[in-house]
Amino acid sequence: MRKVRVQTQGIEYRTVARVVSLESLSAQWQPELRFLVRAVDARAVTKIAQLRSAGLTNLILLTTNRDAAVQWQAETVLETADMLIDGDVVAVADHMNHAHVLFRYTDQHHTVFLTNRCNSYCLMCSQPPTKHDDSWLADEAVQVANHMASSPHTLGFSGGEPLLLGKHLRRVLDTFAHRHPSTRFDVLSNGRLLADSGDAKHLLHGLGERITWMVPLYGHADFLHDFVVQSPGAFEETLSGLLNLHRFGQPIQLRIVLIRPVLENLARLCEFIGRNLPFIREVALMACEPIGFALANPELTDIDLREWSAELIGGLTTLKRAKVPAILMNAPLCALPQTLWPYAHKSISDWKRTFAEDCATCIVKTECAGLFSWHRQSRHAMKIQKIEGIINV
Amino acid sequence: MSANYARGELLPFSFHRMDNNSVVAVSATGDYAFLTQQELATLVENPEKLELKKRAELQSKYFLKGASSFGSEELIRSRIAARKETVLAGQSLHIIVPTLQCEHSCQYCQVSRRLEDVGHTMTPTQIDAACVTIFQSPSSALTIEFQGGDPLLRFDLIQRAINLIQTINLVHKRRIRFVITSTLHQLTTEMCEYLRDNQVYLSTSLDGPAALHNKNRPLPTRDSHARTLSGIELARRIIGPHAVAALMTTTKASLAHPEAIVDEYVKNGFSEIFMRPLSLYGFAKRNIKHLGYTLPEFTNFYQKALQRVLEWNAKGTELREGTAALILNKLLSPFDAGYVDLQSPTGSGLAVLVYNYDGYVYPSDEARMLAETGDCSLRLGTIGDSLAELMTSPVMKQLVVTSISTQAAGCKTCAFNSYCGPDPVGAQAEFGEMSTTALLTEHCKRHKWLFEYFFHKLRTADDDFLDIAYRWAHPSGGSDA
Amino acid sequence: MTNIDLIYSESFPAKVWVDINQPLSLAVQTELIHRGWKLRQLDVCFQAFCSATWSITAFNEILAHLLNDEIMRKKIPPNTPVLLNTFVATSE
Repeated sequence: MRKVRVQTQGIEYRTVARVVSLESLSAQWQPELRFLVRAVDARAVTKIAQLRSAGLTNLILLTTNRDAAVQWQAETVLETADMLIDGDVVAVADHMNHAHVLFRYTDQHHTVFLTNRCNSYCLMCSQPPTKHDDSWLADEAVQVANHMASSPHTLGFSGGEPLLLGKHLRRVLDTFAHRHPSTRFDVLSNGRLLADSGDAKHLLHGLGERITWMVPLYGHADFLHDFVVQSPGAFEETLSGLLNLHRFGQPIQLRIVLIRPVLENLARLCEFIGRNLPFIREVALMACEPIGFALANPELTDIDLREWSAELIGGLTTLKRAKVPAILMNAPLCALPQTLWPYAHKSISDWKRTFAEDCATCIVKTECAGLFSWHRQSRHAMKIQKIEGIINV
Repeated sequence: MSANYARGELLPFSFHRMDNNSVVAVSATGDYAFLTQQELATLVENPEKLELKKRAELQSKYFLKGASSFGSEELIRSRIAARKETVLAGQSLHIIVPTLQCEHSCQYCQVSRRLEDVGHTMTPTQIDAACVTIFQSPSSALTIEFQGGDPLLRFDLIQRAINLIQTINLVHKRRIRFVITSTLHQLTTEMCEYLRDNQVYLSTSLDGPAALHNKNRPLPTRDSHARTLSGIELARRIIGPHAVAALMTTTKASLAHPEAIVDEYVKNGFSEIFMRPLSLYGFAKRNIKHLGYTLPEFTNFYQKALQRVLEWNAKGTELREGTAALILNKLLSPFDAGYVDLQSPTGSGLAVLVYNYDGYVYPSDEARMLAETGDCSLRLGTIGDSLAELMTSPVMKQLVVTSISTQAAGCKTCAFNSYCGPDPVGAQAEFGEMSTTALLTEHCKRHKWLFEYFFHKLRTADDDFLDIAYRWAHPSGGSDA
Repeated sequence: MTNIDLIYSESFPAKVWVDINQPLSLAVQTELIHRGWKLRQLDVCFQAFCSATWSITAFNEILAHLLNDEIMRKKIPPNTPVLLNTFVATSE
């Protein structure tokens, strides 16, 4: 999530608000929302002050003018430059040095973060979990839904493990579905807490088909999967959860992060999926993000996909024969055999994508997923090689 | 439901010996693994000593349990249920035999009568009653197939049935498919227009090139082949390029011409060929001596024909072989393709019903052919009986009880019992007794050979064969045996 | 390994029906026939037809395997027809 350096005053508790220009305020104002109203000059500041006196107490001054901010008696957000855009949904508070941009319409990918707690401890977790109670995030998610002025095509929910929200998860999902009826949603979840049919029914009954569940699966036997997620019993719970999701008509995407213990068994895993889980909508094979726990286990996670071309081709062929659609994510094209390029998606979120120096003259750069911004050429096994010459993409 | 089992505990499976050093083991879900003698012994006696990759494979195929297995157990149940979809979902195939009249006098045919025979035709009332029973089936997809004799000789009855079914379906809204099985010699332009307007498909017999076909299917005018081809051409011209499917029957005369038969299908624009052996009962029993052939003679013929089919595919001609598709669906796909054969319990009665010109309802095509030879013991009831009455008849109960592959003697230890099931109708025809041990039947011998043959092929398959095998194995729309 | 007594010793080269002094279950009989061996029953005893190409050694080998396989199968849990109730219900 983007963080924009700001200074705030008068905002004691973390608050969600929508950034809006003064001109657009009258069209958008609602009493139950909060607004960061941009003042471009002194006249605007005066106008906003008038509106507040008239009873619009849910307005917060947004300005780059330090003096105006100092004079302002009520809540203020001081930007150092115009880094917030109209329509942004942000969280601000005096104790935070940044405004957290929870939603920006112009982003290609949107994610709402529901919790940092998790019931698995994957070897390559990009967002290492914490244990403290962060249930306020569920309420904040509801606030985000309310404050979004526009409905994106797709929006994802992630964590940690969203199912740990318990009954609050359905409340969040229902709020988003109600406020944004044309949006499609993704929930990234290990599915383990859906193993119980009663719990599954409570969450999933009547949910419709607008949510895709993205569930990781790392092995075709319990000891393989449980090792990767560092949780005994996870495999069986996930299988049971997948069956319950299917029972309630929920679309599923299986996510497979391509680390060494997974690649070694990829063929059998894809065979298992084709035979036992043929109802899933898609399999996403994902190159590993070199961040978080992955850095602590480099011998398992830092791999060059070029060494595993045979396994990738084998796995994708197996899925194709079983008529299970599949895609490759997060992998630069130069690391893949050309026969697999049709499977590759440009999937790294805008705010974390970068390219290496060599990429500048690569002829397939515009089709490529690129790299994670924390990728360091010298440190990682997977080296970038620009593609030259004539390629039929 | 959650339980802790000792790691490595065996789940039910069986195995079939491939050669002196190896077996193919098959679990209750129909997942298979090729094992050496040593691996088999280790699996059964010391599973904890299995090499990790092998153990993972065998766990994932349900030969062994993991540390806890409640999720896997649900999967096992859902896998087994998926295999039985055709018999669990209700009768999807309804065969109406409006008349027995036919102009051919094929030596191996159990059922035909001369054109001028009377008294072998359904009444309109019976047609109507059959249509009502059809909709008592819970199946969401219904295939109604008209057979004979030559059903086109009573086209009026076909139209009556189709019109009535379409009317009833305005309320039910099932997915309905109509097929007419006929020599096509009686096909006219007017008939084709009706078929086109009502989306009716045709199925005909094409035994091979002209000489072979005419020998198998004698007409006084000796031109059965030419007349069938011209019927096919007429149908395609008016109805569309995919209007006609063709089937063949393998006779003794066919055995010398596997490649020519396959080539004939390609020449005439068919994309599917179904190499079917002869059922040696019915009228043909009288002629077994000069019509019959042994299983090795058939399997030799089959292998050559399949080889030719694969050669055509390698050259870029899409041609699917139906028997291979049926077997490969069992081995490679978790989905039941909808064939009424090889089901456990039997598809006869549970997946298919036959409403016969004689006023009775039979559980399968073979059962009504058996009645022509004088054995009427397989009648489920009378046309007009409700589906519930038909399904609770003593004959139906006996059919179910004798066809559970995990219970039947000989079948319960067979490695192929999750792909197969006893054929009590066949047993009745061959031995006069539905509960005859399946091991003794022609049905078992033939299918055991087929399963073993395709397992051998899969074990040494290259990528091209595997691509074809999985393509054929995947259920396509509208397969009825 | 199972001990099979033969009337004619292994070195006997000609075509001959050899006695099998072992009861053979129907499953083993059909397996042998499936693999191309000719069997016949003489009183209570079975005989197999052996020749130069269908040698006694080969027969010994396959029969030993098949008999051991039967013993092996007894160590594997049987597939209780857990879904039988579903189908009995279907027919009612």
